[in-house]
Amino acid sequence: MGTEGESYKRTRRLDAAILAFVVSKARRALGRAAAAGIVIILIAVAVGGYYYYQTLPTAPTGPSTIKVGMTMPLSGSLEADGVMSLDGLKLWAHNVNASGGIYVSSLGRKVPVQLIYYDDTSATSVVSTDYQQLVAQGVNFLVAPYSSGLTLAAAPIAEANHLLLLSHGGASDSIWTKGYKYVVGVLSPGSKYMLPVIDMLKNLNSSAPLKVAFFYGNDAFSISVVNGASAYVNSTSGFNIVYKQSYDESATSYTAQLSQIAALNPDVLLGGAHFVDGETIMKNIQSLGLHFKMVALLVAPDDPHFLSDLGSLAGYVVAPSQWESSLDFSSFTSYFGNITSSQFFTQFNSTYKMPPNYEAAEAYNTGLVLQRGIIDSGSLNSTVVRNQLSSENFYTFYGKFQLGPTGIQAGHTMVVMQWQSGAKKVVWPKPVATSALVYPSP
Amino acid sequence: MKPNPQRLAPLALPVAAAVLLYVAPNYAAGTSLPFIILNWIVLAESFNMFAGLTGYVNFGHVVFYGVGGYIGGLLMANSMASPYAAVLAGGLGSALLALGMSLPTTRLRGAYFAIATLSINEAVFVIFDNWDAVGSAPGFTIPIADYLPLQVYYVMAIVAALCVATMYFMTRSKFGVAMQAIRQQEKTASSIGVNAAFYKTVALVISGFFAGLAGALAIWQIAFIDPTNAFDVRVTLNSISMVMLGGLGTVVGPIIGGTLLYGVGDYLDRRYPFLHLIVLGVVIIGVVMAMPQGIVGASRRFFQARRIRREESEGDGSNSRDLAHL
Amino acid sequence: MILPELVVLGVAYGLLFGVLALGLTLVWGVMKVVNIAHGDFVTVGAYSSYWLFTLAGVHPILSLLFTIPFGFGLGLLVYLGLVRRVANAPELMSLFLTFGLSTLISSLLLNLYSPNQRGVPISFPSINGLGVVLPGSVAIAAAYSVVVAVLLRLFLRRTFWGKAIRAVTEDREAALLMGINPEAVSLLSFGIGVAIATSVGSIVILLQAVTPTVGGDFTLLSFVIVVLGGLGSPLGALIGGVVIGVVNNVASLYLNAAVTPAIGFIVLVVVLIVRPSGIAGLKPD
Repeated sequence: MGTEGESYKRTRRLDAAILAFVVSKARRALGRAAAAGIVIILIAVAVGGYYYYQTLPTAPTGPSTIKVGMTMPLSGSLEADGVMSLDGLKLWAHNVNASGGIYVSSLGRKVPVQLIYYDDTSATSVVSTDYQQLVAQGVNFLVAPYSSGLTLAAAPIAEANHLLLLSHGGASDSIWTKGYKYVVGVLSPGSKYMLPVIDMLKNLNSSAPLKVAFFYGNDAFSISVVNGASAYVNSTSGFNIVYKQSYDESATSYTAQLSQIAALNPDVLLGGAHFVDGETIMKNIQSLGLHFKMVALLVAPDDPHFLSDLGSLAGYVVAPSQWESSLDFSSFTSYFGNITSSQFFTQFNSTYKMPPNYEAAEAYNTGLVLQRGIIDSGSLNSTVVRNQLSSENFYTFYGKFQLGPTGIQAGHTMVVMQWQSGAKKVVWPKPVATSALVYPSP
Repeated sequence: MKPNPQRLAPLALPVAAAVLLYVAPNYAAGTSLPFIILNWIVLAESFNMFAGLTGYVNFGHVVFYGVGGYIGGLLMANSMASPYAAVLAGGLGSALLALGMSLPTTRLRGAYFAIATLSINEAVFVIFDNWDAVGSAPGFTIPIADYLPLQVYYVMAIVAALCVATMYFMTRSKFGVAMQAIRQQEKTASSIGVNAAFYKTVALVISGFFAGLAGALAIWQIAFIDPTNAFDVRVTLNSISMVMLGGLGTVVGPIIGGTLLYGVGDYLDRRYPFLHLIVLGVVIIGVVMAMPQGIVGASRRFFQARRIRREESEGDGSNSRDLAHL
Repeated sequence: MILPELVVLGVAYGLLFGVLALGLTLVWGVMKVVNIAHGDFVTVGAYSSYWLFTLAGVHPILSLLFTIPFGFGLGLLVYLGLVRRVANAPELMSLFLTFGLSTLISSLLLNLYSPNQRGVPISFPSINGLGVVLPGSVAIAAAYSVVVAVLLRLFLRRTFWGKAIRAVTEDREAALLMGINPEAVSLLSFGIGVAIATSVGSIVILLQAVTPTVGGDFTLLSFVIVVLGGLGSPLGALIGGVVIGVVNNVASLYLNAAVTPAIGFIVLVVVLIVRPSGIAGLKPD
């Protein structure tokens, strides 16, 4: 160990060593500035060479593939959601390519799809750099990463480079308030998430005003959800907001806050953010022995792992959902995509050995939306396809697609699901409900 | 047949400049990759300015980057300054922050300093995460009109050159000698009249200035900032890895480490999006095991050993002073 | 009503994380290594207990019988294979190495077991007393922490190897002169440090679900606790844990939940300004 300790102290005078590394015998002859210069040149050449190599495959005469670029959080705090979304898109690409690709009328042939994806490690800084890389690689279209925060980071790069960016897992309304033209929402925006839940509660016609506690994650998505929900609650009678606070999603426990909420004795707890925090909240509620007449959380309860991780604890938890496998829109006339909800569920389940949640459906649907835009416009140009999507109005297994003027999703509507006896049931709206809401939860 | 590098020497710097200013942006299919690498080089080199010279680990290095980004970004988003002035303001703001940060922390030793700076990082993150005036958790974007990739790239190249030059002069001046004394034996250095706190503060301020410039340039280029982006401790950890890979305390170490680590990481991320972090972990462990002094240290050792062998075979022992110098 | 409950909760959580920090401080004291992978060993322990429960129905508390020796063995291997190289080296070296180790562990777990969150559906009755409700799982965590702290204290005070660890922590050279083998002491204390982390993982799985990358949060928490209490001081780690636990919980009464995480860090910086070596720390040099 002694020699090791010695060696640490000898880290001095690097220029001489590097110089020797570059031109072995020229140390004394070459000036230090020249040495530094040579190093810079070598690096610049390496960078240039790397880039030259990168750009080589992107210059064939005609597009042999439709390049769809994206990052997904495949590690870090959003990894579970990112993998689910990526699997949805991969399944779409697989199905499209199994039929030879997407027909592009301007080329007069079918062109297969190529997904180019990186791991953004759930970090917006990585998203920013990776999307620039995707642009440099000459992708035709961009798909946003999962989550609003990451989508917001990708949006300016897509916009500046005039590339269509399809948002499947970024629901925050703030994405569409910045005047971006190229960002298109496939899913219902955050402000609409909790509205059906509130409609459902209103429908209970309870005698006393319902006491509502909002406890939600401090991120772009959850903030937009709760802002939308609390504005809606305030505009209708029959509710009373007793608590409204955001929390840090990486906290390991929310017992302190939940104790305070319980002391206010609310009927309904609304909130959550993503997966990890949602499960922690449920564990804490249980360990504190608290009981609410209803708990409605974002995202987490819709994931099938919610049941396997929490067991009976998952019972009667409610969640707004973008899609459930029981929904069937295939009887609508403007139905697009050769897949129904139950077919999607079965195929996803057999391919990835896990049942899909709505994140997977959103992602698959994103592929369908792109496919429709390309087919109807006959072009692989992002601007042309974006303009085409403005005038589209159709249904897929996921529901309706119709854009608002800013590119926000205006056609799609949310449903409400509840865990009942170990199964997911759609409980609202009534026409598509597979079971009645259990309220108050036992 | 000895090469005659003397004649090539005067050409080296102009060629390097030409590559950075012309070849890279025009033949690299865009400026984003060279920009990102230069940005990392500045982050790593500015970390090195403090850690390499004083031996202290600033675990909150990314705070300078983030605050510089926020200052620059706010000025650009509200059209209060030209992007160039906004970048400079970001650097100066972070330098000021470094001055403030040095007051409570320069008297802390070793790991206490590291954890205190890490805590400052986390506290600053939470503050920005809840500060509505700066966009709180969702962050904010700057107008697309300011999206000028070529200009940003050139400014980045100039900042990177200045940063490396500053480090060069810091190591070669009296300042560097004082810092070395602090690094090796802080108490002794203080007893012979070296004002350790003063030198540490100066190094931290310069380090903060360059990291702040890098942060402001980054938001100018990517047009978006939020707290998880701006104060991500992984940025500090990456800077540390780049410096350690290249060679701690050396001028070119961060250049080599930054280029290699980002280049390799980027390549792996593209090819193996699910496995790249495993490889990164193995590479880091491998570097510590195989060349704890980084690439510069390892190559120096290699050539030193060769030189000794050669001189022994030539029977020439008179060059020992030069050896010690290496 | 709510305040005493928050204080009790804070103390209970604080004890658990204080014990986790004990492992970190022990390692730092003996070999001056700040182990960034400490929290990832918690994840390893939590996953071990999760799989023992899921595959074999072993209760997480019973799985301590596995995670403790497993962690100890893992610690010995990691020390001999990796950490030995950076023991007593400048802290950047150990930070760098353990960062690599942390990245490796979390990404291996990610690839082996998918990013999905893992939790065990086990519940405990909560404990009511003096108007305070304490969740059963938190009470178990606190009880376990007290047992570990007491055993560790007995070990450090009463046994030869325990005394050797304290001797090396206080003065490595003097200990060497007294015939203590610092290498063996380092090996032993790293094994104990990792065993503490993995065993805390078995308890953590009762409190919350875990993902492969959750370790970083535990590392950060134990860093703050260790430095607050004073590096190298086991008692300081416990005090630091309780202080952070109580401060964070009580702060949540007055501040938005999203702001409370900052309080612990601010308390740390303030304490360091007043006492540069933490509450009960050794001189860092």
